[in-house]
Formats: sequence, C-alpha cells, structure tokens
Amino acid sequence: MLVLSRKEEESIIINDNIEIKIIGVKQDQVKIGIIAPKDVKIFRKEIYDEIQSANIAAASSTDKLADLAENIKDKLGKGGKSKKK
Amino acid sequence: METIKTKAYGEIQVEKDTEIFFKREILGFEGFKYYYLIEMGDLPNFYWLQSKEEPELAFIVVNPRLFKPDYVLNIDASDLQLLELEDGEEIVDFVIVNIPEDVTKMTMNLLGPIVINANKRIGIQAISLSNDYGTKVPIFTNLESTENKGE
Repeated sequence: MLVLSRKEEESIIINDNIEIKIIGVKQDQVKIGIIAPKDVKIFRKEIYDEIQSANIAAASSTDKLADLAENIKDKLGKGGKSKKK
Repeated sequence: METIKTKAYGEIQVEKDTEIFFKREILGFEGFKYYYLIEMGDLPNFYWLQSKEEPELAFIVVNPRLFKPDYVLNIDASDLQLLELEDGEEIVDFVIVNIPEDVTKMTMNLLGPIVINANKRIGIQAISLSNDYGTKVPIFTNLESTENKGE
C-alpha cells in the first residue's frame, strides 16, 4: 500500500483524472472530496463488505434447501398468494 | 445436452453452452466465473444460480419485483458496459435470496443485484445505486413466523 501524508486542502491525483482532496479533519473523522469522471464508480467499502457477507450467508443458507423447498412452496401456496399477480 | 453437477439435484442434463460467464464475479466468490441458471421446478419464479466450477456452490435467486413491485434496477453505466449490451439485447436481473431456518424470514439482497445479458450470457453482480436498498429485505411481509404458529 502506498501511504502519503496530506494536510487539509491538499490533494492526491490518481491516473491524471481522479482528484482526492482532504476537505477537513475533525477528531477521528476525515472529510474527503473526490473529483472523478462520471464513469468512475465510487462506493464506501462497507457496501462491498456488506454485499460480500450477504453473499456468503446466502450461499451457505442453501445447504439444507432440499427439504425446505417443499416448505416454501407451502407458504407461497398459503399466505404468499396475494403477492403473485 | 450435457451433464452438470449441481448442489440441489445432483447430476442433471442441461442444454449445451448455456452457462453464464460472470465478467464480474459474485463478491466473496471471486474465481468462480461460470454459472448455470436452473429453474427450481418445485418453486416457480425461483432459480438456482449454480456454479459450473464448484458443484457445492449455488445461490437461490428470484425476480425481486415478485415481492417488491416497485423495485427498480438502478446500476452504474459502467456496469452496463461490462454486460456488452447492444441494441435488441435483453437484460434479466435477479436478487440473491437468503433462506434462514425459519423460511418465513427469507430475505433478498437488493443492494447487490445479479444482472445478466440474456443474449450474450454475460453476468455481473452489480451494486445498486439506490441507497435505500439493503442486503436483508424481507420477502414475506404478510406471513406469520412458523415459530409462533407451530403449523
């Protein structure tokens, strides 16, 4: 990992067209401004982590599915009916 | 036809060359690039997303609009580019379902939709641009828990 020290109002330029600017530092929080082309996707990393752990949970939830399928079919047949067109 | 190994049904026959190539893999399952979409015979509208490379890896996916009629697929233009979508080609999208012990508490992940170019069979897991879409959205909102009901 490349580590750089920056002060408030200072920036880093990545790949000529992405600017990451330190807007402010307050206690344990850093406010960051990002200027980037429209086609650059920017998400907080927590979003990736959240999706990843949801995926892992979903994948292991299929382990016992064989017998559950029947059960779900039951549910859909009963209460879930209003959900269908 | 060709024979594939599945988590749910053991060995089954599918049409040749029907696997979907995941150009961006499912988060947490990097390295698994090919999946089959298999109808759950006993459960209409639900599908298995079955890894070609690992028989024990499979997800259950569903069209979210079935349970959330106002659902909108809102993903980045660069994601659409990954899908190599051209005029006349069709996108199909699903969300991954999580099935806990109590099936009435099934949830779907609206934040990380599975989006597929149906013509080219290219897929990705995208990240929804809609901030209010979570990873654990209840599927059944009008069902009592089986725990309380005792069937």
